[in-house]
Amino acid sequence: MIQAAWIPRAIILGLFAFVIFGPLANMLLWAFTEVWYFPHKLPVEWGFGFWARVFKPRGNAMLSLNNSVVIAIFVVITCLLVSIPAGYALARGRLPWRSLILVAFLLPQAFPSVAVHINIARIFYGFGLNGTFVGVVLVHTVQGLVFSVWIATAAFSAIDRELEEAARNIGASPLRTFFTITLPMAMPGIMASAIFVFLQSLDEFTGTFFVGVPDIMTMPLLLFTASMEGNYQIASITALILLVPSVFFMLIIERFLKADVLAKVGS
Amino acid sequence: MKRLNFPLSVILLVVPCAVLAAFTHYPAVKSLINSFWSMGTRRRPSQFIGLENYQTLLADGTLHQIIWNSTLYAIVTIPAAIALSIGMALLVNAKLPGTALMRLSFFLPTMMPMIAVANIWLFFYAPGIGLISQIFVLFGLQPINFLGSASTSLWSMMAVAVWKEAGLFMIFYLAALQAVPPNLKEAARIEGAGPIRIFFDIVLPLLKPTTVFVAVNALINSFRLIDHVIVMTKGGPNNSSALLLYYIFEVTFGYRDSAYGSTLTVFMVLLLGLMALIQFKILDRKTHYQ
Repeated sequence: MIQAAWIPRAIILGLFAFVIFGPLANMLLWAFTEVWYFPHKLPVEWGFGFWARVFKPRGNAMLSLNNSVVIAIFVVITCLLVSIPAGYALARGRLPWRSLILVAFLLPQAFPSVAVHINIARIFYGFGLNGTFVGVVLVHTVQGLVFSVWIATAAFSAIDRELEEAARNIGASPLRTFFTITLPMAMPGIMASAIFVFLQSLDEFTGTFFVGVPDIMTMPLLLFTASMEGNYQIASITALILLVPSVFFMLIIERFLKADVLAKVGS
Repeated sequence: MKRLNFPLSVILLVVPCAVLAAFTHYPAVKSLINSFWSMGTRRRPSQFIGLENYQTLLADGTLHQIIWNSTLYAIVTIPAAIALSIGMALLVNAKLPGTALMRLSFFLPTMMPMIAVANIWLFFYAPGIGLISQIFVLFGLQPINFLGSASTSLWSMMAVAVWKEAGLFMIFYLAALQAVPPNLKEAARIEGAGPIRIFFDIVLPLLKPTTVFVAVNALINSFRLIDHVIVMTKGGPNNSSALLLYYIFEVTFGYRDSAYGSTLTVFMVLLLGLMALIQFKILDRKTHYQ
């Protein structure tokens, strides 16, 4: 027998399931649609025709996927090159305005990014960086930096100083200590920030839109263009491709969602 | 190892700080400066006009509607996202079968890129063949053109924002819920308090610090995220779904008036700062636990 208490709970769960998965289901329908028009409730013709168009070698989609990945890789490299030294200095350095510098790195997070992008686009225009690969990488890097500097600082601060001292005592040079002791121990945190920066760059829309258009086509821009042209099939497939890395990443961090890790955030 | 000496730390920090200053702080300051100058054209270079741009701003009728839109958007989405995320956290925290799957499902929208979310909802809202329209028809209701009519477009944007954000906030509430000492709830139960009373008198006050954090974040996000407006309505129809940041975008790129765009940016940052301050003050007063 079903207990009465289960009925409202089942209704709530059903509603949640619909609200979360309804829009997604709608997108999936579009991804496998050939023809669909009003007043048909479901696609008139199903098929993989648009998939073939998206995955056509040298097609627009493959080109933009390639662009997106290359840009994201460059963004990660630039972010790491900048944030590892900065994080190390902020964690270990004898700095008078340490907290002020950290806040300066956090400030852009509160400042509306689109407003920044608009201004960057104007400044880049003066340097001829609009519509260039370098321009887009720079815009994404600036966004990623905020995050990666903070994570790197936290990762370096968490390392037990005695380990470094022990290495120094048995004769390792400061540089060797850094590369064999400090850096490997900070690696998990730094890797996490690298993944995050990678995803952020892959998904970034407004910055690319302002700075990259019309020459640099990334996945989010392709998605936008397709949907503005009313090509819902291409847009759905592109959106699906964009979801893959995010969902994959979510499954990886799923164990961190078990909350004791996050228990300190916000309180 | 001893602490890094000062010169070396400075050397390590020069590049990051320069990048940051050049690409975020400088543009911000530049907006402030531009807001006091007129828009330069080829014939007439831009010149200092003092507060003239700000006078335009005060007299701008469109801006009034947009401020109203943004305010309504914030007033609705912030409490809605908070209430929903607490509800989801409670559901997930209840240790029922399938909670791992639920937690993942709730978190899924948060992980998706905003641009993809905006498109997913664009299809969902599509008049006629969109799923919502079909459900309205199924229940014998008149289907609504959600994005195309001025009375529903802003509300449709709100739904997207709450859908995207609630999952993230749920994580913070989940963490806070697990930090609530079980013996407090136990004591209340022994005293005869029902589950609803326990929630409102014990759990909710203990969640206050998390609520402060979430509320400030939700406020900032309600002003910063406009991907969905760009994709779904372009602020229309008739500016009914235009938010402040979208208006800045439109003024700067659509009307090519970067001076007024800068003025609006300054206005928005001031507004944001003021509201964050008020929020901190109000919520801080009620926060007893640290």
